[in-house]
Amino acid sequence: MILTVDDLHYAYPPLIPGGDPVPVLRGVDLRLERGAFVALMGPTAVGKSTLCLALNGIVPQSTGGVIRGQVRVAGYDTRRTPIAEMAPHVGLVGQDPESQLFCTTVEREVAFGPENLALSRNEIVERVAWALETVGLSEFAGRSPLQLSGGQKQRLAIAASLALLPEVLILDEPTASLDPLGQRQVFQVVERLRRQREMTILMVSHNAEQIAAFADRLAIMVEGRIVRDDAPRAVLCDADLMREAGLAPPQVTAVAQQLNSHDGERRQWIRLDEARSAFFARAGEAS
Amino acid sequence: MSLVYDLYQPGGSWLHRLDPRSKLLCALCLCVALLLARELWLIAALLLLTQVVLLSAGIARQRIGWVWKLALPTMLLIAVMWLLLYRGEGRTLLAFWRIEISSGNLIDALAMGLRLGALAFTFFCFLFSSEQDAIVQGLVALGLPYRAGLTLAIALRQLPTMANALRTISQAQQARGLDLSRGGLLQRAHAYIPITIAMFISAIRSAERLAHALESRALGARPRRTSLHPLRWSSADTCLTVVSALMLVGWLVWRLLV
Amino acid sequence: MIAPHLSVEALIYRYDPTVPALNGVDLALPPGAFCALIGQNGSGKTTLAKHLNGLLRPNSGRVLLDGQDCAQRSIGELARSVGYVFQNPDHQIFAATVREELAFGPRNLGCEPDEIAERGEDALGRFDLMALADAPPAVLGYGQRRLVTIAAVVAMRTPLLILDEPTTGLDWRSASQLMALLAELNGAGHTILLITHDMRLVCDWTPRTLLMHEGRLLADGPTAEVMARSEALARAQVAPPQVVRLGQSLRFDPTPLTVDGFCQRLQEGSGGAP
Repeated sequence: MILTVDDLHYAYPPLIPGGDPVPVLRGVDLRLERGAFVALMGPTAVGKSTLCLALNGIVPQSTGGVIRGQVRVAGYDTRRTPIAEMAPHVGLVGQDPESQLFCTTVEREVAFGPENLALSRNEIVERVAWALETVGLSEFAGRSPLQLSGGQKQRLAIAASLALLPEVLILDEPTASLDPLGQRQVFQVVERLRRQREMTILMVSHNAEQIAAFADRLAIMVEGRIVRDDAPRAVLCDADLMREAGLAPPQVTAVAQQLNSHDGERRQWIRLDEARSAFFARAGEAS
Repeated sequence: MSLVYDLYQPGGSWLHRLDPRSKLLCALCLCVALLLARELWLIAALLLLTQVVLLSAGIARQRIGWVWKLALPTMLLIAVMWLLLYRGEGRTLLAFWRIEISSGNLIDALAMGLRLGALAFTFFCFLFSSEQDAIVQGLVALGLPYRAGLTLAIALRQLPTMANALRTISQAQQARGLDLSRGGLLQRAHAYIPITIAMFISAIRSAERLAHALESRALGARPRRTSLHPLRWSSADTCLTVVSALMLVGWLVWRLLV
Repeated sequence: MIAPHLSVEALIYRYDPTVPALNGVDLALPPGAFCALIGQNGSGKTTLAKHLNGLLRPNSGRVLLDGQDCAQRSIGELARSVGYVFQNPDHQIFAATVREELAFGPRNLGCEPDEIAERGEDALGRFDLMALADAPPAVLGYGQRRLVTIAAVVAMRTPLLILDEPTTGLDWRSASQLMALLAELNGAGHTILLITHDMRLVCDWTPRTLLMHEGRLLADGPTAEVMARSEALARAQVAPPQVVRLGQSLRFDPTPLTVDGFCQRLQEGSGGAP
């Protein structure tokens, strides 16, 4: 297991001095094996971002607060290992690309991480080139990040983390502010990373349809706890769970469930091509 | 993008290739000279020198013109103030009311006015030909602590972003009926409060996210950092620094003795 | 309440002298319209929306409210008729309590204190924010901040309401609740223009859809018709929701827009379900 979270409880420091700490994580358990692509879904403000921050040590080292339980990533204890030491092993890409980009050119942005690690100039050049190529931004190397579109900025933020060559990549809602084209591009990058580098990926997302197409596993977080962690098919087709969590499965899943309730079958479609094939096969039988 | 945020004009000229440290040191020498000089011919010559430097480095006339537009009103103001407030030597050219303008005074006033222009251009020679990041790298190499340099670089880089945020927030609040055009100075300042507070809160939130991003990218992992584009000090830089220093010292000595 | 008729004629706007952000847009929003404005980022959606309440003024063309040119009317005046919720709630939040935040708009419009209080209470109720009425909006979670800014504009009770991507970052339940509220407001006579990327919401809730691409309206009509225009959608890099695509594969005509609609169509049609 490259990432293990054991009974993690965390409360942010009180908003007003003297007040009560704000509990967010209430006993999270999570395990990721090397090369897995796990998606995390849940209602808003349930603790998904907090969990992401706990996976590279920002919670609790930078945020303070009260923590209980253990988090180990790539062999490091995130409560004790300095964040800068874990950064080359676990990359974290936040939601809003605008507030994560601060350099004057795209290549400097990607070089920032390797520069912090005091790598040789040749190594830095190589990593920057690889990272930009992986996310498809090689021709923008000398441009200002301000000139990029939303999707391009998000890919740049990913490239900036990739340049550290982490074993684990955590993406907190990377497609939140993107249009459909931008969303597709980000998922394609993630898919490429899995295939080429066997990178372990945890992605927080609201996009059930993309998750159904790409993820190995889907974890559902409700009220500070992971309540289900299983293959996407099992989770998305569990109507009671999805309803309880306030989430919507892919539309084809909803269609399957309605059809199931009429004729008692047990269809478990989660992708459009599955539904299509089923309909065409039926049409083929009928003719 | 507005000129103000993007002072650097990319190029490959001799001026661009110089290390920002040597350019900064040379600019400082020039400034010292300009601040101490009283002679019109010297100030005018240095001003002319900055123009020659900028043109030979391929800096667009538009940019040079922009600096002139910026500096000229203040230059004129200084010259006129000097004429009115001081009485120089030499024969009187013009006398009316309580003001006397002499030939010496006129020359001094011109010198004072041109000095401002020369000072401005000296620094713009530096800013137009040096990348923002290279400047900060240069300062760090000269002794500025890295964190301070990073803070400076981020602050400069945030200027356009903050300007955009200001514009958007201003629009958002106006869409809620906020009137920014009515009333006197005090009333208008009060009207800006919802905009200022929203900007502040927004900036703090962004700052926190940026801090997380910096930490996640191993800031502080090693005591020394390397660079994708390290500064390169060449013999031309040594030449420039030595010549500037020698000329300044030489001139100072000459002035003291003569 | 009858909302005014808002229309746009031959609207051209340029941020940059070389590239028009809006390249000749004609649009009519009759009272009670409920439209979704879809298209890629950079297609001109927000630019168009900002012309409707005077935040941007056309380089050429006109914006008309009840037939009268808006060019002379200030943003403040237009704010009485057109409410605009910005994409990022943090670009609007500034008050010390949620209640004060909701009072800002009505106060600017010149309402009396008891009117302001009444509108505030009403908005708090509609958006289920009663429990947070005295909390500082800035420290609330994203979803709640989002609702506060929408409530703040709804409290202004403008006949027209423009919302720029109000459901981004909201989970399905919250997004559906918001859309139900918008449908309620539309039922009461408000004209609503919704900029969004969420095709499911568009098909589930909005009767009319406007498709933008490179500063022009590629399509404008009932949602079912627009979703059937595959080439236009492909050009605009926008894909209809899964159930619509499924229906199109099965050659259902007209294509059902929702899951329920699809299943019903299946029951009615021959062959049944596979």
